[in-house]
Amino acid sequence: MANAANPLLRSTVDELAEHTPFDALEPAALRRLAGRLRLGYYAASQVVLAPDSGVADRLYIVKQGRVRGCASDAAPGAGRPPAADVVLDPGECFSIGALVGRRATSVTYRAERDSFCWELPAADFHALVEESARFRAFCMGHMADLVAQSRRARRVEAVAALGEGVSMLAPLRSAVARPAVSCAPDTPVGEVVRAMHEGRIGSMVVVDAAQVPVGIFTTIDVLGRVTLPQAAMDTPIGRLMTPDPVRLEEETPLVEAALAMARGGIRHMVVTRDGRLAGVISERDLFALQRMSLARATERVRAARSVAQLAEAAGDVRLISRHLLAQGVHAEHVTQMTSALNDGLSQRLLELAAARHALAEQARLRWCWLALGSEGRLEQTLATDQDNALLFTVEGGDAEAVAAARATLLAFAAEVNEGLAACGFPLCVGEIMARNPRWCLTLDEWRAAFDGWICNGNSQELLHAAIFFDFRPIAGDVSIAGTLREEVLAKTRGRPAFSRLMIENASGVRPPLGLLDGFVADRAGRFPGTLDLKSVGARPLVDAARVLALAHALPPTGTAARLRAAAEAGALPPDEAAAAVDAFHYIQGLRLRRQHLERDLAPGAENRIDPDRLNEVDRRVLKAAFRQAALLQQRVRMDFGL
Amino acid sequence: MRNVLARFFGAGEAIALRAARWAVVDCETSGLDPARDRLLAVAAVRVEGGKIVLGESFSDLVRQESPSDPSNILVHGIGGEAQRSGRPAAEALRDFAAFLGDALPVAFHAPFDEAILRRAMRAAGLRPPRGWLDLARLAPALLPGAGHARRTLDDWLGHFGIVNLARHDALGDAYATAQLLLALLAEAERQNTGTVGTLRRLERAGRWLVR
Repeated sequence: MANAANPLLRSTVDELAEHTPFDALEPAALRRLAGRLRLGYYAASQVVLAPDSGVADRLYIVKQGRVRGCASDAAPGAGRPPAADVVLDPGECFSIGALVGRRATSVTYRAERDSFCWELPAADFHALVEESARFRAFCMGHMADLVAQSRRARRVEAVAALGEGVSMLAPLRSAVARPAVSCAPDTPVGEVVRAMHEGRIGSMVVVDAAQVPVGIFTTIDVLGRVTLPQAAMDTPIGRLMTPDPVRLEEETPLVEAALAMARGGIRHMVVTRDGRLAGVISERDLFALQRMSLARATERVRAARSVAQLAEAAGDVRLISRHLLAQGVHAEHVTQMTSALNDGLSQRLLELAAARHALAEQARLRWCWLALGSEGRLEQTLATDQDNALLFTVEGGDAEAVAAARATLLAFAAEVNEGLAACGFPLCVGEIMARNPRWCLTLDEWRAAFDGWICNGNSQELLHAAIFFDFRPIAGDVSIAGTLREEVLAKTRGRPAFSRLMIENASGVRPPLGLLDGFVADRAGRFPGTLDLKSVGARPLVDAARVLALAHALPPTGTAARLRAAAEAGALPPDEAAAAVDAFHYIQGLRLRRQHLERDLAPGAENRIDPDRLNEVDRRVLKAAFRQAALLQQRVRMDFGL
Repeated sequence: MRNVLARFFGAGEAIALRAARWAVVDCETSGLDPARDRLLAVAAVRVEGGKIVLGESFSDLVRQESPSDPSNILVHGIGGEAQRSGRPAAEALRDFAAFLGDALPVAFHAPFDEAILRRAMRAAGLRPPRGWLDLARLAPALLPGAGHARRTLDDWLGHFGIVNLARHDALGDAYATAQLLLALLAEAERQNTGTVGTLRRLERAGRWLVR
């Protein structure tokens, strides 16, 4: 009633105006803001907002008391570096990053004292960002700080790409919660098990006299190696441990430990300092926030005996990706981890099919399964068709032996292609799949195919062939793929005519920015008013990176890795490479968020966004990303005299 | 009909505390005797889903034919002229009743506000709200340790560090009381008092604590 003259609003406005950025807000915007607020109370030690609260649905402004943001869910001070904490006093807001990114926070906010917080619903926050240039500037400044922080990520702990706390780039040592318990190889297993039980620890590291880890023994091993075989309690642990455990130096980023765990299906990893034991990190430490077990998914994949079981495991993998994304983990790491898990899935599928087709019994046959396109570049999103091929050799084989081998492999490939489809990777519409005789080729035939593209290809042919240049071995005899890669690079290097043809294709697509720096959305088609992030956003960058990699004989297949390698080879100024990598990941992140977090997407809309529906910050960053893509295109054209 | 029944038979006993809608009320009067003294101002603050809704509050002065005693004016600061310039009681109270709707009424020393409003609203031909929650009783019942030494609204505001910028202004007091309600609801939730009904039973127990 009588809102305009509501004295409660007046006093709220006055109270807010004592703090930045509200002191600088337009009076009308501030009044409207106050009218949308609710006031909540949080008793000391009560959690206000946490990663498991889901996508941020409101802005919190501390009115009274104090709120502390911790990078983990653990109670404050439980072995976490206090540097990662954020202390929020009256007038301070959280969590802008999560709201702007429309994701969950990566930080647990807890009332340190009895506290009151004003709460602004997300819709009103976004409306305020739209309405108030000053509030927008404040949020942008906040984001700029976050982006700047993320650039320093390798030096500064506790920084995420867009998040405020947990970083997958932080060094391992920041996640090592407790000193490792270790023993010598001659310790009797009975003693080891007792120590593990009493100390309630999951793993014992076995070290030599110089404190160099030589093995690991975990609670899971007790059952399989001690209890069931009824091992004598005085057996030296050295004979029961897993020798040569996976070790990482403590300065390694967390993401690498996560990747190694995903690849190896392991739960504990030994952390070393200059080769000596420094600690143990468990999957639980790494993904304390996550509750979703990477190793469990990997184990399910490995243990699968049928396509149906693999398809179930594939569901786990998608869930994990969604989870990581919702937690604000950087798009690059999400895709890398998803790719690692998907590789494992394909490998298991290939293993099962290879056994059924008795490929190992053909002594003279060497084969290698190749991933092409985005899978080859380790850049799969959810809506990715399968693109794959087979490469094989038959030692001393005549045409007849080759034909027989090809027939066997085609039957094998047909099964694998169907299996992948069952696991959620749709069949390729263009039949670029290993089951197609055109793409199940011997090493010599692949040489000829690449020669044709490189030496006599026309622009149209190269357009279709581009994804072949991104091939990456998945399973089988990886070394023949290595040979092929070397030979291809030797031919593409320093062949400007080929490079120019590739660039002409690449330049066919231009980032959709108009003269006045507005977006140029599609007018017609099934989704008018939208942009296709894949074809006009990511593709120019992918294409340019490929041209650079092939022209300078750079082995990586991933776009970011190619751009970084180009910078190292002196083919691209380092700052331009870094900016292009940022732009690429930003666009990939938008695509991933759309595919993973939005339900009920219309088929064909997986990569489409409506720029008008983006918030201001995303719109600006997307424009900057497109500009960066255009810049890279231009540079590559100039480099090759176009 | 359901509303009418609810008003008579104790509203929403089974409502979860988090889901309940409250209206925190404060009255300024010409004195401390609810049977004789007049209603000068009434204010209410809405609490929904455990949060104070800042955009929706009610506050009105009730027009007086003759101003209240000067010593009383010193308490609430509603001067003679302001008292005469308020809105007619029937009008102000009709809007007040509309603001309340079926929210559960809450006040500190609720029996006083309840009695004052009952008299004034009946005189205006309106149905007074029922089923009041009294924070003066609830607070010591929830926090027996702290309640020992605390009696007044100011005591309890001090306990929770709640600042009242406009004490003895009806809306200022209602707002401060609403903040006290939030703190008590958080405490009740901590003690697993899940519904309005259990909260009321606690409040009744608090009657024996406040003497």
